Amino acid sequence: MKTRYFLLAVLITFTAFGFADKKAKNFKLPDLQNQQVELDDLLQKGPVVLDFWATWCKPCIKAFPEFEQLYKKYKKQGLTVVGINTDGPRNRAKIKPFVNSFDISFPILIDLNNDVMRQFRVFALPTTLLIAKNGEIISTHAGYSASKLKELDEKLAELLQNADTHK
Amino acid sequence: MFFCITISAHQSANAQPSVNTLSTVRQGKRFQSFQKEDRQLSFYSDVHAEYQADYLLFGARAQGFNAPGLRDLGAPLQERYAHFSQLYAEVRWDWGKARIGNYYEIFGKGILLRGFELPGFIYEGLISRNQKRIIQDFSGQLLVLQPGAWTIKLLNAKPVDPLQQPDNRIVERYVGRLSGVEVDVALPAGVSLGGAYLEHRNEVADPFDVSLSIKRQAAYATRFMQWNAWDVLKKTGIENASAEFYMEYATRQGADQFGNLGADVPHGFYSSGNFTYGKLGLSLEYKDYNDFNLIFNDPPPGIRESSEFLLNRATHTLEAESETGYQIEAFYAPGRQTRIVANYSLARNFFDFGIRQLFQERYLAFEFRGNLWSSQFFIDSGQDTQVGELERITGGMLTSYHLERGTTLALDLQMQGIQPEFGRYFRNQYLSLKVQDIRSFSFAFSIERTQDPDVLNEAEKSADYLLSATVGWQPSFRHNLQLFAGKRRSGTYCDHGFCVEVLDFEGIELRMETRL
Repeated sequence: MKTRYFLLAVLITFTAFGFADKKAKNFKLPDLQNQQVELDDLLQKGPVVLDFWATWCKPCIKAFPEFEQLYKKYKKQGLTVVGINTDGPRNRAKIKPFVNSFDISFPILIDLNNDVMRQFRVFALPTTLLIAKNGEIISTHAGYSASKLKELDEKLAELLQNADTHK
Repeated sequence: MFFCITISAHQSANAQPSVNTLSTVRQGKRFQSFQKEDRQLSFYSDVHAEYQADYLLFGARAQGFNAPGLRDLGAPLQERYAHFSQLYAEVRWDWGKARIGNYYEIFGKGILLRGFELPGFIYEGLISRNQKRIIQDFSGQLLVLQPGAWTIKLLNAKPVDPLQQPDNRIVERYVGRLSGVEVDVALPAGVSLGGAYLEHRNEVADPFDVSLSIKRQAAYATRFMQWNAWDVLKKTGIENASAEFYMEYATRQGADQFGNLGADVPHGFYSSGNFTYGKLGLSLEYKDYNDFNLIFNDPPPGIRESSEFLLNRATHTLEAESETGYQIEAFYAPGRQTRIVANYSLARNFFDFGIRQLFQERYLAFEFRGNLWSSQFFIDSGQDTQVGELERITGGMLTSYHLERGTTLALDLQMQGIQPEFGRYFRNQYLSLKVQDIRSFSFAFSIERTQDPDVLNEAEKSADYLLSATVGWQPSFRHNLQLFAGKRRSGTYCDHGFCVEVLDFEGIELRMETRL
């Protein structure tokens, strides 16, 4: 009985704050060439789009060309699109040839034991996060959605326009 | 104590609390069970709270389950539980972290040690019939140091058996105690070297006198090497190409000679490589596992993980007790919008009393991705003597079309024919229609026609139809609701690289996810 009361107390305490992740926590992951990449370093250049994906995830594949378009469109304005692979050790060997068969130029990072996936509380694939240059998480979406990717494009345009205005 | 620390940490300007919940309410029954069942009402909830303040992290996770009707079914375990399954605190700094309580960790590629969870998946036990998350974690202390090119991991923990329910009063969830260290270093020319040592101490009941226990101790070691040959290829003038290799060899100490892959020596050997040239890519994997099912590990199975509905459950689950095999997968993109994938996987098992099993699979897929249309056609043929399938052929088409305003229509059509070792040839057919993204809603309808004798309980039936409908609502990232109504069959289910046996279900299920 004590456990139940304690559980309830924890839940109420946390819920009462009415919060969500506002600042993205930093992480460090290896890319396909085994070079360590840090989120904080990417954010120095500009906003970052994180795309959590896996090789077996069909909707993730659908979203690849659209992320590539976004990357090409806003790269010069400082945007980095990062594909975070969450396959785990099972499909690690396939990632490079898999990515190579798509027309992708944005960086792919390997989250071998899903630590970053848990850090950003990702339950479903693909999950997309837009992080502003100051580290604030602007939007998050789970699942493939053409309309949400359109919204992402609009938010990015607004974000980068505001950044230019404040320069 | 934990609570006091949490609240005081809230004073920090960068403090970020978060809560994830995953809950289900079910009203239904098993329909494949030999024992006739009445519909049961069950509730499951997983609450995971975290509190991040600068470099500190605190977390707690509780799981609860209640199914009052389980007692009537004679299920041997509790029909209800509420249990703290995780409690942890972590401090991070630029070149490392220290953690006490529950955590996940991996040594090498997981042949020796891996802690993980299956995100978003709720498992129902075949015997216990209660629900829980699949969480294979460690409870104890962890120190990770990353000075420069080095990574050093030190751990001391109790490993948990992920298939045991939380709050299990009959079987101990924690399986002994582990102490281990892993060291790896990144060297020039794309080479990384590493090794790990692990001791496992456990007490098991004496088979002749259950009041007594037998102390067991085993030591394990692994060594691994990775070589990224991109730079070397570039220097030799081969542009537009890449190559990467990995090799790991794990053994139980004292029972082997280094490099001995004999059938009587406990070991885990895994090697992989991949090559790309232009739009052509190839991956190769080889495995040889013997007596290496350690509960706290998760070796790469070297079998294709399929998301196609009928193939997902027709896969092979690794038997690290004794398995050898290999996998080859090729990718080729003849155009910007097209892709061809081909795979061959093979696994051989050698069990006691000379029992041998063989699994092999050949897979070929063609994909097209247009601006509005995208389609995939696949064909797969396989053999799995472990489940008595001499020949299995599966084919299908998955296609989707984007409407204006972002709505997507998806059609999934698959067919499968199986020749069992004993019994008649039978077929499975699957059709699914989905409408995604109508504002924040999605709708799916699926029907499976099956002649599988495992599903057909009544001998006079020649086929059974499993119908289901799902409505999803995601008003924001914070909330996701799914309502399922209908039937789904039992079988192997694979997700995020891990395969489990799921039970059949007929009824209504409401699933709710929240991120606060």
